Amino acid sequence: MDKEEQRGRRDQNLKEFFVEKLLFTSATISIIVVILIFAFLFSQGAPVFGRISIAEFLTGMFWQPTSVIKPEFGSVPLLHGTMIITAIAMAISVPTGVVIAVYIGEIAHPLEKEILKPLVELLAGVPSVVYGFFALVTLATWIQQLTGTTSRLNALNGGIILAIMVIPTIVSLAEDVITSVPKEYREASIALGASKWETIRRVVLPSSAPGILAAILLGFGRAIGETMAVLMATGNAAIVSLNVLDSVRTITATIAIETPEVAFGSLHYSALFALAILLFAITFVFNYLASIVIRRLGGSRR
Amino acid sequence: MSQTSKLALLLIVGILIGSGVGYIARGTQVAELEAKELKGTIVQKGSDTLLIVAQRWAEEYMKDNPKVSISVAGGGSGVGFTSLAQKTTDIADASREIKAPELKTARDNGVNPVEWTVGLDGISIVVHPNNAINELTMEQLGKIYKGEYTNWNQVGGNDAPIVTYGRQSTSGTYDFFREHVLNNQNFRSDNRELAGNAEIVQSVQSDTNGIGYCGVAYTKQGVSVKVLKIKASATATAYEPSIANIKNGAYPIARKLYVYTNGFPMGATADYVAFILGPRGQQILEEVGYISLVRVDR
Repeated sequence: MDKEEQRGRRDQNLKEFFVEKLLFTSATISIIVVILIFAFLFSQGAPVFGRISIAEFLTGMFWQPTSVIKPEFGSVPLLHGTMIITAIAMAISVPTGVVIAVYIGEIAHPLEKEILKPLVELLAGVPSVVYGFFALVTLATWIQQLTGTTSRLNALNGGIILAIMVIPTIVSLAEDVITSVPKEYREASIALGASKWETIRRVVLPSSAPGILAAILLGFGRAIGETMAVLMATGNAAIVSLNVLDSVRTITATIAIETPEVAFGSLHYSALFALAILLFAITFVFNYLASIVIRRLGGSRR
Repeated sequence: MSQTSKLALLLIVGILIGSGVGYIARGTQVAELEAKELKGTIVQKGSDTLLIVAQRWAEEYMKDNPKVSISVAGGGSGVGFTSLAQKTTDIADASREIKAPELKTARDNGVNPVEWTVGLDGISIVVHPNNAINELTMEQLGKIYKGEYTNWNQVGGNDAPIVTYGRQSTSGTYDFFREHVLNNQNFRSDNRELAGNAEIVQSVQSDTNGIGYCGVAYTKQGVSVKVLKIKASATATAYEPSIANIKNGAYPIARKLYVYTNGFPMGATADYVAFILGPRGQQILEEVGYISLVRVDR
């Protein structure tokens, strides 16, 4: 009895040890991969800063990398393009997404929920090139009819299609968070005499705020990194213009368009990697800021 | 089998499958000349201008030689040259000549690009059918695309802003246009950069203030845009991009179309290039709307 018990326990300990190490390795690998990606980006992109200064890259107003007379690598128009499209997309998708999530989570009948939730998640699975195609052919025409503009490929077109792509992301996660608010909270609120809407507004939303913010952050990440749809929808003109009916060009579209033809190791090649670093840095900063906000919100609930 | 051994086995099998797939996926073609039939795969990439005709060539050739499979892709002349240099394509379609840096990159990589002239093409300047303008001089066209003219009334049209549509920098048409119409100056910053000829035609179709440039073949199939007549100078005659005008040099914006191979091709690729340059291939070229340099006029 004793010997067998001992052997059994030792085998189990060994198994535990292996599983623990395996999981630890997986976690470390994912962190290492991110660090390696950043190191690769940096090593390929740094050479460009030998020829043009960081200031010139970050404040230059013209992106003309293949110019015969004088190649210019100013990233301001591209940054502007990315930001304005993301701003439009978030302005549309955040309120809409949260409202839809609240509806599905709180107000919809279980039968409605059964249908709506999978439908929304279906939208999240549509390939972005299909969205881009839709924006190029149909959405642009609608915008043209609505606003009477003649320039159909513009920032508004890109922003709206991006919003359509981001809403399912926000709704999916936000709805999960809202549903996971403990039943007791709602019951306590109603027991105290609050109406359904007051419950939602005063109890459910505040307690799921960190999760909703995380959902919005995820949506933001998707919006800022979207390539195919904006490439087809925005017209790709590298200008700075606050008129949403003007064409713009995003960082992601620039990288996608110019990488296939760029000579390995050339200045243009490094400049594209520098753009990638810029994008990475922006996403990183936003993620960090948002995680601080989330933690503070989450902490105050305790 | 215990859990850990199962996992280990799965991992090993996964690695084997992954490396097997990777091994098969690399490399382009192995063409063999058999006694009776040609077989192999040919990869053809590059110019979007040549895309329509390249697809027709590939289709016709594959009908006669069912054991050869040809895959045709676009991306722009620049992409074709880069792929040729990296040996990821057998044939690079191009609507412009290879540039010195591209030649150097290819040679450094052990690739020797050989140029084959397959036809002649004109660049059509298209505007919306309701546009009042019917012709432009080369200088006016250049100034429009450089951003020096911003309103249609500066070239004799209505009082409306000019919206220009063009290709992206990977395009041979983009390079050719910049070299010959803009004299190597930069395009205006707000030039809309679209992925292909067809997209330009489609955009101009729905933009009353739009102007775009594309290969002549793209204005053939009954699209509703107006093709402008171009004159070399203010006092010259304005010509439309008809086949006759392009061939005799009257139409100012014309260029040769090329395919490039790595050295002199062998096997199925050689036969395919011979097909392209031969009577059937050149007939297809003219059907699509380009001009053959090889066929004799009757």
